Amino acid sequence: MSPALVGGESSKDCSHRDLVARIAFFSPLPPNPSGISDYSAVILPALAARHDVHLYYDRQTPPLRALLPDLKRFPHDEFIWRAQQQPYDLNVYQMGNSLHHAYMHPFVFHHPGLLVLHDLVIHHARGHVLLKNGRQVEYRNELEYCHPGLGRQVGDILAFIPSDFTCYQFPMNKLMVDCSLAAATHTTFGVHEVQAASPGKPVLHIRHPRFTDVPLQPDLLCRYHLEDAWPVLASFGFITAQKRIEACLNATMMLRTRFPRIKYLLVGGHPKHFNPRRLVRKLGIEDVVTMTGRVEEEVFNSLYHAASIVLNLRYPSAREMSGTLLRALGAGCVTLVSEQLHLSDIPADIAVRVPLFDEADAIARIVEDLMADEMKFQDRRRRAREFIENHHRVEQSAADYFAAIDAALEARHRYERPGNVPVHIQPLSEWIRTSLPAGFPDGVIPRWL
Amino acid sequence: MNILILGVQVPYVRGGAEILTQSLKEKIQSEGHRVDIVTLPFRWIPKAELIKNCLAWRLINLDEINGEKIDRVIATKFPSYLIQHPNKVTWLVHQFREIYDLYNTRYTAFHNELRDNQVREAIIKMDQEALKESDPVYTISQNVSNRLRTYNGVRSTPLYPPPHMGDRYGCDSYGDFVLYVGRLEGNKRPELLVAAMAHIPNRFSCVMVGAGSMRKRLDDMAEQEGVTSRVRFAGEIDDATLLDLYARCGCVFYGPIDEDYGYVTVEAMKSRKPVVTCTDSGGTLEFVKDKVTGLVTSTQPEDIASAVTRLLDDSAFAKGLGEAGAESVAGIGWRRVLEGLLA
Repeated sequence: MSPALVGGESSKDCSHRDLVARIAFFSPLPPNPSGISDYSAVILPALAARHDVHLYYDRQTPPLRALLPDLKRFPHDEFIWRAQQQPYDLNVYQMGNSLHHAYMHPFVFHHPGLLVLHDLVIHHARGHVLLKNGRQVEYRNELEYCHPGLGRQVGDILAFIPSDFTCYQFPMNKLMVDCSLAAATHTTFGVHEVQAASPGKPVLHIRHPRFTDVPLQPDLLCRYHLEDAWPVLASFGFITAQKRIEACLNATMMLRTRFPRIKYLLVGGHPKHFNPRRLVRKLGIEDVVTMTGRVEEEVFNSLYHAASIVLNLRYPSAREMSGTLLRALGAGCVTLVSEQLHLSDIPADIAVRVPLFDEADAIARIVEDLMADEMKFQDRRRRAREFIENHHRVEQSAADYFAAIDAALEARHRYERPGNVPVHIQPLSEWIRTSLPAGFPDGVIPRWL
Repeated sequence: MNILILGVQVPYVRGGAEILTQSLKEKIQSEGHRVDIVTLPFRWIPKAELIKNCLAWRLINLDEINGEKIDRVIATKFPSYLIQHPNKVTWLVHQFREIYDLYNTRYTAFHNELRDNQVREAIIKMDQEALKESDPVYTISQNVSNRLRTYNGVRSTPLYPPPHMGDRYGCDSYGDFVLYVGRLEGNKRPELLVAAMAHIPNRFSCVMVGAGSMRKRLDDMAEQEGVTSRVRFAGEIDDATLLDLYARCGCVFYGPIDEDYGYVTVEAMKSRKPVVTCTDSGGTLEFVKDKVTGLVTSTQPEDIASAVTRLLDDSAFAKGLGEAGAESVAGIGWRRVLEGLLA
């Protein structure tokens, strides 16, 4: 048992649940725009109530000072020397498929911990980190490790002919999982997927915590011209093509005849390469569509209550449990999601499925059906709220975290780095050994390495 | 005693650390001990070489040579203190700063990559283990001691090394030029003074002593700023010329980034000259107290110019600060150093 674990009894005598662990928690926090920032801001206080948690953030994007003022926080580059002086029992990595999480990649490989995979697909971020630095060989080798028999060829192609869609088909998470003590995901689908790829690795399900519900700020209706609108369709979060915005806009245009006062609200910013305004103009629905741009978190959360129906579609997706989906359901919104296996934890009567083909027609048809029966509509709203209340409370999520932390701590004693990881992931001692003259005795390499 | 001073050599480069080990050798000899300097070359590129250099020091046994016991080794620079010896004293010039305070900055080749982090962690572990074997650990400044405490949790005592020209420093006058002494390299920030010259009245000039990779850039910069006629690059000069410049200048500018110690500061003060330095200059701030022994400014050219102009304009003010500086470094000498290292 690590000296940092305290609680009076050894792990053999009692459950880890009695113990306080020193945890290095790697995650972005607001104002970092990663969706996982808000998530960590919700779960951290619950974890810190039991364990001694130190946050390690990307030095480039320090968290707001006023946020979680009691939390000990350090820039990531201080981890190594801080951990040398007082070792941590466990590192917890909040891993996502964006560059906001790239700062933790080297630590995941070098300091095995609990890997919380928010996105099952991390190919875009990991691939970008490697390829932008000209590390094509390492990219190929990592892909081959993650997807044996195919990875090297896929890597050869993707290194020179990037394909967003193909990246989604090759999640590239296995190397990180195998280099971890334990992994966790927010969906049972994710647990099965990761377990299938990495048999024997402890993989746990952690319920995604709900977010704080914010009542509607009345002035927002006026600000976004929603006073007389009905129904109000809305999509939340960073606007990307994968969120099927094109289908949603087409559906809105189709629904306009049936619902003359319809509005479609897009809450969130958009990347330079994807600006829906052009399509809005092309469809002639400028008066129906409102794009708020990036808004403050308070406004963002409040606007869920202005929506009749939330369109929360994703395809292709990183197979994540969507934070915006849980926000929508928690706010009692009737919510449409793409028909995908990884969302199977949420029943179809809680989140309405939209097939992946002929989406616009399907959305229009579903919205018409939903709006046709007010009682059923209100019942759906109630059940959505109850679902979140019953399954996604912060304390439930924290309980899952504690179990996952226990599992990872248990796994420390039997963890072995896979012998076949790519050369660039191997321990320093291996690297040094290969650079020493032939015949140099192993014994002189100090244990420090 | 039979004593060996352990140094690290970067072939063709001679700087403060080399001067320090040579001076230390002479002073220990003068105390009647038998002493020599042992150096190994140091390479840090490619990064695997760095670890091999460390292993090299670890493999050397200097417990005895030709049947003669070595009573004490005095390690100075990284990684010489990795040697194993029953009586190892460390007088640390500095650690391998690229993996500590300079990590992930433009002053290092070490960034947040797996291999870099592995090397970084290994060196931190080595430092901790090896410095624990050393009893006691001295450093050349409080700044170096602070870093050791922060990054390695190792306690140490500063022993300030005296500048190598001993009591030859003096003051003739407070002239109309500001003096820069140091290598023309990024971490010394000579460009701050060149940029400041554009804001300093034309009646004042500067002399820049030293050579380095930034020379061409500084030339270009002086031309762009229109100060070429007032910035004289003196290059590397002999001791007598340097003493003369110290003796005649109006003040000294020394604004490196987080300097370990900074002989220049002490040399200037021993020459009774006030020093202009920057708020982030590290070791120099152990001696330069704002408006007491010099002026401490931001790194903005206008602020540096204002400080330099004030001192060049008002020689009485400069003299007052210079006298106070001389008093503050009067205690820096070899006696205390030898008492520590030979105890």
